[in-house]
Amino acid sequence: MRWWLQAILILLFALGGAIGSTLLVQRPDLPALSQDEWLRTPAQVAELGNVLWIDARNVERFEAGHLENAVNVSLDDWDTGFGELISVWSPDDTIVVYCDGEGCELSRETAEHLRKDLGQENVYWLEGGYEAWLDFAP
Amino acid sequence: MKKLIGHLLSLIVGGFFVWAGIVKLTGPTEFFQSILHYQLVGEDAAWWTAMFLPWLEVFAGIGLIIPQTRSGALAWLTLLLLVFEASLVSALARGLNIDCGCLGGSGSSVTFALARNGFLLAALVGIYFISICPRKKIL
Repeated sequence: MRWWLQAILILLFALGGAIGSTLLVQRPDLPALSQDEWLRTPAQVAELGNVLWIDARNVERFEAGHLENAVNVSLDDWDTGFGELISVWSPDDTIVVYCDGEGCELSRETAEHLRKDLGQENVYWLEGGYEAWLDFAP
Repeated sequence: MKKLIGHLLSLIVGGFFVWAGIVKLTGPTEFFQSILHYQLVGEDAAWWTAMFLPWLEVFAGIGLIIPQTRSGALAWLTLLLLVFEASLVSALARGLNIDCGCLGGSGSSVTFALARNGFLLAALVGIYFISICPRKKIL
């Protein structure tokens, strides 16, 4: 069989599967996708007390610019960042994790890790990330 | 010996794509979200991609393992990897610090995914020269 006929055959199988998926899987609404009990908007963060900022980006981006008094806790070098956090953190602090922009998943993942490792619930992640906070409170 | 290496490479690479496709099929919403994070396509296109791409990975992966459909599968997988690499480079260039979404919500970084896809592309080139090119010369 010629290669392009093989490719068409594979495409037809994949299209069949895709049609099956669209019939079985319900498309989620975008607002539902972004609903997360740990997600906080800049306005909500402004109302929190004792905020301790965690910058979840890598060290190069952190050094290029970060929020005042933020601690760099990157998943790439967890032990170093977590050690630094422990030295400044108190259980009364509300931790807010940020990274770059809307598409950044690191802050959510880092917040999850911190909730586990610190055994604390008050660890949130910032909607819109670093840029959103700068726009909100330059 | 060359033939055996060709089959073995096809089994490994094809198996990887079958696995990657199945992981995405089991979490379509997460994959949909991962596509949106790249900020390259709109909501509708991201949804159709999330519905179609995992199946293409699964069937192209199976096609690569089967010698009779290896050439067609190789064409699809090469195209897929080139598109993935372009998307990852674009995310890096725009400073998006996102999960690659290559294996559902596995937490792979964009740079790791770039390197892994580079190896997969090299393996596909190897499969082409070992399994497909010699056959063409004979024909």
